[in-house]
Amino acid sequence: MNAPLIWIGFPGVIALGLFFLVRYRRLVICIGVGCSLLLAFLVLWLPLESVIRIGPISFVIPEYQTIFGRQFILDTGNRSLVFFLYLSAAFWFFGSLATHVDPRFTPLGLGITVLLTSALIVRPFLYAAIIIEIAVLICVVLLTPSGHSPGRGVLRFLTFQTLGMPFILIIGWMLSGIEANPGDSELFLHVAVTAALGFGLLLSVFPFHTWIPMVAEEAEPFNSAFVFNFICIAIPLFGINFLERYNWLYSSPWLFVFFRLSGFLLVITGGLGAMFQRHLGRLLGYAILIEIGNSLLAMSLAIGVVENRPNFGIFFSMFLPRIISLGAWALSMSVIHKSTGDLAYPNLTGVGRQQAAATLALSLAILSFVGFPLTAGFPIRLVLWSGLGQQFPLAAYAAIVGSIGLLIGGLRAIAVLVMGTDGKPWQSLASRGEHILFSLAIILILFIGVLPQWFFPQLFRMARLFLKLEGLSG
Amino acid sequence: MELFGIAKIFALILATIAALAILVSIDWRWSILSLAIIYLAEFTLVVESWSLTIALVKLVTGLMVGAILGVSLSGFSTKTLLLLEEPYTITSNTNPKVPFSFRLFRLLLAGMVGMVVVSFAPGLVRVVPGISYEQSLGGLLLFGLGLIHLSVSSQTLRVILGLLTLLAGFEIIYSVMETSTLVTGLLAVVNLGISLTGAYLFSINIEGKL
Repeated sequence: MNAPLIWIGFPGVIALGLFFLVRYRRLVICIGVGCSLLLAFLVLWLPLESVIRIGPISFVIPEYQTIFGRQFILDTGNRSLVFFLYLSAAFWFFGSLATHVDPRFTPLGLGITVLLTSALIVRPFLYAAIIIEIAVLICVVLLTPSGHSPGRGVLRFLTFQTLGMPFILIIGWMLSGIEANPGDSELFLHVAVTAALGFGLLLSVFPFHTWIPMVAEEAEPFNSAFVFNFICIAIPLFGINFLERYNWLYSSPWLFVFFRLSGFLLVITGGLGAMFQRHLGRLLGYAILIEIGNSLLAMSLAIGVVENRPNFGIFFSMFLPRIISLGAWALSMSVIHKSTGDLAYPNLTGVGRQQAAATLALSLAILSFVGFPLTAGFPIRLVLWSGLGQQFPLAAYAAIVGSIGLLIGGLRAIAVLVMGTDGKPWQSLASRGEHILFSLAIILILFIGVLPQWFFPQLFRMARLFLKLEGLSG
Repeated sequence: MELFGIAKIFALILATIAALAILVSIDWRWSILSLAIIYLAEFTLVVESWSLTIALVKLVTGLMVGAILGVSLSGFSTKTLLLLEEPYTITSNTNPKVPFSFRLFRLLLAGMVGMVVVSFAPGLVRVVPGISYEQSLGGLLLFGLGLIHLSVSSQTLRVILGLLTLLAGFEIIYSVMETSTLVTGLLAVVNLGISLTGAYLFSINIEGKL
C-alpha cells in the first residue's frame, strides 16, 4: 500500500466499477461523492512516510510508487492540491444530483480527476502531457453524450489538445539540450517558439481559443462547465510545474511576453465576445476565456525575480470563486435549458419569471466572474488588478475592459430572462433539490465575497506549499 | 546498399503514398488500409532507434487502431457515411464521387508540404543527434500531411485519421529522442484512445442522425 495506489489506483478502480452501475444514477453519484470526499480528507489527515499504529498493527504508507522506472510522488507540496481536486470533484458530483446530466458523468468525472492527480504527481513531470491528453479523450466522451451528434467544437477541442502534446514532449528534450549548452541562443529561440505553441494550444490561447464558445454552445452545460474547470486548473498547473523544473526560465523575457500578451488578448477577446453575445452557453464560453486570460496575467505577476514567486497565490486563489461561480452558472443553465430546450436569447425571453431561483443564481455567478463587489470573485480580482496596475497598467486596463464586457453581456442576458409583462407572476419551477443547491451557491458566493479573509489565506498557503516557498514572504 | 537501408527507403515511400491516399480518398476502407500501412512504415523507421520488441508495440497498436476503426465503420457503405457528414451535400440519388478539383487541391497542398519537409529534413538531422535522414523525412512528412488533413477536414472520421497520421509522424521523430518504456506505453494508450473516441463519436453520430 502506498500513496499513489490510494489516490490513483483506488479511485481509478471505483470509476471503472461505477460504469457497471450507471442505471442506478443516485447510487453512482452518492458513491462518487463519498469516494471523493473520503480521499480529499484522507490526503489531509493521513500521515505519509511515518509509522501509523492502529491497535497492535503498525504500518508505513510510502509517498511514492515506481512504474517502469518513473515515479509517482505525493509529497507535502502536492497534498493540498490533491485535496482541492477531490473536494471539487465531490462538489461537481453533488451538483449533478439535481441536474439531468448523462449518468456516466460521475464515473467519467472521477476518471478525469484520477488522471489529473496522476499528471500532478508524475516524475519526470513531462509525462503529464500524455496523461492530460488521455484525460482530454475522456472529456470528449463527456461532452458528447449518447443520442447527440458530436459538434464541431468538440472535434476542434480534441484537435487542439492533441496537437499541443507533441510540442510539449519535444520541449522537454530541447530543454535538456539547453541545460547542456546554456549559451545556445538559437536553441533557446526554438524552445520559446515551441513552448508558446504547445502551451498556447493546451491553454486555448488566442487564436486557439475558438473551441471554447463552440463547446459551450453545443454541449450539455453542466458537462462543459466541468471540462472548462479541468482546463482552467490542470493546464496552468502543468505550466507551473514546467517552470519549477526549469526555473532558470523564470527570468526569460520571452516568458513575460507570452503570459502578458496571451492574457491580454484573451481578456479582450472574451470581453468583446461576451458583450455582443446572444446565447447563454456561449456567454459562459467567453467568461471562461476571460478567466483563462486573467489566470495568465496572474501568473505573469509571479515570474521574474524569486521574490515575485508568492504572487502565484493570486492564481491559486482564483480556483475557489471560479469553481463555485462556474457550478452555479452551469446548474442554473441546466435548469433553464431543461425548461426551454435552447439557450439562444430569442427563446429565453421571460423565462426568468418562471425560474426565479435559477435566474438569481445565474446573475450572481455572472457578477462573481465579473469581479463585482461583495461577490466571491471580487477580492481576488481587486488584488490582480492592483498588482497588474503597478507592473503593467495596460494589462490591468485590459482585464477591467474584459470584466466590463462580461458585465454588459451578463446584464443583457439577465434583461432577456426577466423581460415580460407586469401581470405575469414570478415563480420558481425548479425542484426542491435544485432549490437547495441554488441556495447553497448563492450563500457561498456572497459569503466568500463578504469574508474573503476566511478563505484566501488558505489558498495562498496552498500555493506556497506547492512551490515550496515557505521561507518567502508575499 | 544494405538491406535495412533499402527497407527504410521502401517504408518512406509506402508512408508517403499511404498518407496521400488518406488525404484524397473518400472510401473509409482505403483510408483504414492506408493507416495500417503508415503504422507498418512507422515500425520500420522506429526499429532503427528502438529494440525490435518495443518497436513491435507500435505496429501492434497501429493494427489495433485500424481494427477498432474498421469494426466501428463496418456495415456502412461509403455513400451512407458521406450522407451523414455535413460538408458533402450528396443526394441519395447521386453516386459518392468527389470532383477532380477536390483531389487536385489536396494533392497540391501535399506537394507544398512535401517541399517544405524536404527543405527542413536536413536541418532536423543536424539538430537531433542520432536521427537518420529517412526518419527525419518520414516523420516530418507524416506530421505535415496529418496537419494538412486536419486543416481541410471537419468530419469525425477525417479528423481522427488526420490526428493518427500526425501522431505517427511525431512518434517516428520522438523515438530518437526518448526510449522510455512508459512513454511508449502511454503513447500507445493515446493512439488507442483516439481511435476508441473516434469509434464512439462515429457511433453516436449515426445514432443521432439515422
